[in-house]
Amino acid sequence: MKHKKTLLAAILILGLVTMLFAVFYLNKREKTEAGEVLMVQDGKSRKLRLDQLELSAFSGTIFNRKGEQKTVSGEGVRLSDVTGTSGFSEVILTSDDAYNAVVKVEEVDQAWLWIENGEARLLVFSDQNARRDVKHVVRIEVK
Amino acid sequence: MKLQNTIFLALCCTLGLFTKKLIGPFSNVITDALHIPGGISTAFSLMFLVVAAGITGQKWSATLMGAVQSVLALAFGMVGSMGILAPIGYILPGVAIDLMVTLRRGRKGDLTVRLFFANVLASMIAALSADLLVFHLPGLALTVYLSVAATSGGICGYLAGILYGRLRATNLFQDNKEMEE
Repeated sequence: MKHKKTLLAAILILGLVTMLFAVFYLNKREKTEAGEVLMVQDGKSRKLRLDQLELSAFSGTIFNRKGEQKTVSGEGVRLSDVTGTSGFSEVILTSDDAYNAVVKVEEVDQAWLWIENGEARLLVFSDQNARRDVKHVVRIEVK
Repeated sequence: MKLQNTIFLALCCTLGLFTKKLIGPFSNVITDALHIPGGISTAFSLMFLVVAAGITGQKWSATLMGAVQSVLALAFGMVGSMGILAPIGYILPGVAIDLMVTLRRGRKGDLTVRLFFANVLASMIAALSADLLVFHLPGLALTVYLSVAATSGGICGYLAGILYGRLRATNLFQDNKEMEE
């Protein structure tokens, strides 16, 4: 192949740049231990231990990524029990891989944090798709 | 369009769609460690579109393959996190490949270099469209996500060049007039 060395050098440069960004990103991101969620509210942050939450049973239907309707049941907490129901406009829930979803104040009663195996997962029962199916929630920001 | 080229496009189209699932678990190991939502398996999937566009040289063939892949993905429910918007994530990278490969036929420069950059560009466009439509990643996470997509696109683009060279050396596509020397 012509230009073999040039292309390999380009891959090496891309790899080094990626590594540089990755190291910077991994050092900068907020760290949470397993079974914990970082809660940011009123400019203050605190760690929320999932095993200390008072769980209640829930059941409802959601849509998976294939668009199929699915009934889920388990134990968790209503999002409003964690955030309250007033004094904010929206809640941003972020997963371990930086995927995030916004829940508006009027929707918090429909949203649940499904607690299973020490991880929290966002379920919004009024949704018609799986866009806000945030698994392994590590950060809850109340705005 | 020759039947031989059409069959090859269809083969690469299917390979691109289904090998994405095969490489998924391996790529997840890397993306989980980097705490980003993906960016590797798409580059591998796009490699087949790049090879097909390079071999057949048919104008807009990568866009066509992307469109067919999106229909298949919707039919099989393989839409990932993009849901009903998945066609955008399949078609836009196809357009990028065509702009780099099939619509630049006859111009100066080595085709393997264009295949390389086509894979890089297509992977980055796929990643960017997924971010704009679904992920909405914050600045630094998006930078890592895009650079991972570019790197994996580069590696797969290099592999695409090797595959192109090997396929060109066979007798299968010898009489393909669109193929560049």
